[in-house]
Amino acid sequence: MSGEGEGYLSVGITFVITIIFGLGLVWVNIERVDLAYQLKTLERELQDKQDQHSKLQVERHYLLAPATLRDRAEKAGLRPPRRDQIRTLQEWEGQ
Amino acid sequence: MGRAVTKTGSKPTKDRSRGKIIFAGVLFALALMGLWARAYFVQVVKGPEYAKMANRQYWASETVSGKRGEIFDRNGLLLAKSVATQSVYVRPNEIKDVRTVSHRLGSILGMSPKGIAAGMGPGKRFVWVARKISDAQAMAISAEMLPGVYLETENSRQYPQGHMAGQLLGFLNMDGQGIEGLEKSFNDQLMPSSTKYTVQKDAAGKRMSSLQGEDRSSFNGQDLRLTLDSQVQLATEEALTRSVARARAKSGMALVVEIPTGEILAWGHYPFFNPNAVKKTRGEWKNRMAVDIFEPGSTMKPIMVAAALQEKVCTPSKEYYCENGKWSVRGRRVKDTHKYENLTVSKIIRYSSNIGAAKIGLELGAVKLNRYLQDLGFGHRIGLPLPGESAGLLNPVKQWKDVELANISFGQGLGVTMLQLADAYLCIANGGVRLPLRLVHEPELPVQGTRVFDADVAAMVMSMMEEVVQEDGTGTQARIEGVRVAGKTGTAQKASPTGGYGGEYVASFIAVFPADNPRYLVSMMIDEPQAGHYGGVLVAPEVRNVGVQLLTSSGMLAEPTETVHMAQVSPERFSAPVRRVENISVDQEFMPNLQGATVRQALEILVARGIVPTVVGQGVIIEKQHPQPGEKWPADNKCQLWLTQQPG
Repeated sequence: MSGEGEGYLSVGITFVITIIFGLGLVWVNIERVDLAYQLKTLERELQDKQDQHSKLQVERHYLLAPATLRDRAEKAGLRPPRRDQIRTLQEWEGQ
Repeated sequence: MGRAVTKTGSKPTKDRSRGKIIFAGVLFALALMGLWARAYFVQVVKGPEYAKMANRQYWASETVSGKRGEIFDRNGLLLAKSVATQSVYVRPNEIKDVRTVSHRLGSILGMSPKGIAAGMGPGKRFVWVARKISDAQAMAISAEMLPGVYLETENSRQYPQGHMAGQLLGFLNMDGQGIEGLEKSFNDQLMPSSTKYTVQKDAAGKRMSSLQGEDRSSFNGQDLRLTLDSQVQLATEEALTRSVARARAKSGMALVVEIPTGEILAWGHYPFFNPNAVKKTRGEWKNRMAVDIFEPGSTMKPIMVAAALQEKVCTPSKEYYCENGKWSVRGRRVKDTHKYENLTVSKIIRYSSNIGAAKIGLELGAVKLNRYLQDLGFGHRIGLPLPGESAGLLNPVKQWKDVELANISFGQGLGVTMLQLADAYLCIANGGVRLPLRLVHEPELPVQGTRVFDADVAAMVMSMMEEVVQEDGTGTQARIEGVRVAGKTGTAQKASPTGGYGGEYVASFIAVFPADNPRYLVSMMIDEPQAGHYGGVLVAPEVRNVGVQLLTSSGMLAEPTETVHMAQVSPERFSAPVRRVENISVDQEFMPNLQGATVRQALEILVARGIVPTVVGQGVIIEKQHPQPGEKWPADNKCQLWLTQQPG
């Protein structure tokens, strides 16, 4: 009789474990899909930011372009220095 | 006889349960077989097809590609970059009200609604409306939520420096392939790679992350760093523009080369070409520096003289009779602009005598001159990575008679590209060693050249070219005070399409800065000038201006000795006397009195001592200082300066 009881118990435990693993598998799958959605969203955001960064880089280099700087400097009343206005600082090599 | 009747009551029931059970069993068996048959049909017969359908529903293939490589100048300034832009397309079969959709799109994109509607003809399933539109337009279209209208992300090439070196950079076609300039030459290097991923889709068809995606940047094309210097390029393009405008010429080209390395610092064309607006141009994109050939005229003379000196046909002091300006070689008239009698070889270069050059060339001989021209790269492609580079036009030496030889000696009867001419001058300026011109910045690559002329021959030719500028030669307008400049003018008649020479000219000037320590080669040419035609007048002044900027930025230009006129400086800023110690020296034991000195002067002194001061306030004059004058130099190298607009 005790041997039969142990058999039922084993079946019961196996059944419960199977249910737990099954539920676990479903939960992991749901999490995976959820994570995949989040990742996709983040990937899209990253791509948008990178695209934005590229455009800002282009804009920055346009603003730093020698021709742009010259135009702006001229509008601000600046001119290229004359030869006598240029001083070249020698690099200090220590005492 | 009576019949015996046996009364049995009710009729005995026939036991049909067995039959029923059998029937039910058969029924179940049939049903089961049907199910099995169906399962077999679904799993085995139709299995692969259904599996494909399921895969199509749940899995999708996604292509991931990087961006085209970027192009920089030698200092890291961005010249070309790809950015994501939107293109708009429609699916006409999904649009019910074509008129409304085309009007909305037309007003946003600035296009004709009729044209858009006409594109959505019957039977079409996909139509591009506009490609690479602005972000603002894309947002406006997205906000409209028009049925059947979609946006697609594409890469667009941007050139933030505008027209700067536009012809050299080239441009891409709509599909992102380089079709001109460096964009074409380095297309394989710049092109991005791509890969395909399988990604899962949900029931709504939305794609999920595959969890296997690599960083997109790993698919980007390789970047390209050029030898160009944007500052030099700007100075060169501005000078070229002024030269073309002053001469009322059709076009112009200018090239700046760093002599010790052969690196090209500037590559300018006029009219400009802006690769951001390819559609608006009318052929200005042509990279004429590498493609077009022209007769070099007098700029060929130093090259021919170098060959003659190398072959010991003459010396700089050897005299040639220049026939008082008119001579004839086998019936072909050769003229000089002035009447010269006896001129030394040096003076033939200085005054650019055609007759003198022809006589030296005839004495040198065709075979020898041809050999030197070949060694210098004439008649061959220079080998720069540029599409359509011309080899020039140099007839086989067998075809050279005296007339041809005389013509080539003063730069007629052969066609060269500006690159070839600059390369030949680079050889002379580099002590007779021919260096390969470079466009790609590769500092680790050793500079290796081929000797064509002896160093003393190159030095003699440089000395003659120096006389062109520093003495009473044809290039005096290229003089820079404090620096010795070598150069050669060129004024060549253009060949007429009907034969012979017409009334149009090519004016050019090539200069080396400084002559005694060659660092920069500047070559400029203008085509068909209308306000005169002499290279020494039309081009030399602007070549000089480029030279001044090059030497100033490299610290090689000494201050002028003459008094600087201050009339241009606003008097109220600098009129007040500056009170400060007469001689401030960095060698002093104690802190000098910087009060009253200009910021520049104070900085010079402090930086020479290794001190980078902290500056407080605004202005150009030092009002007070810490440490105080007379105190010991700060041990921690800390110093603070207070500024003021006006001296106290």
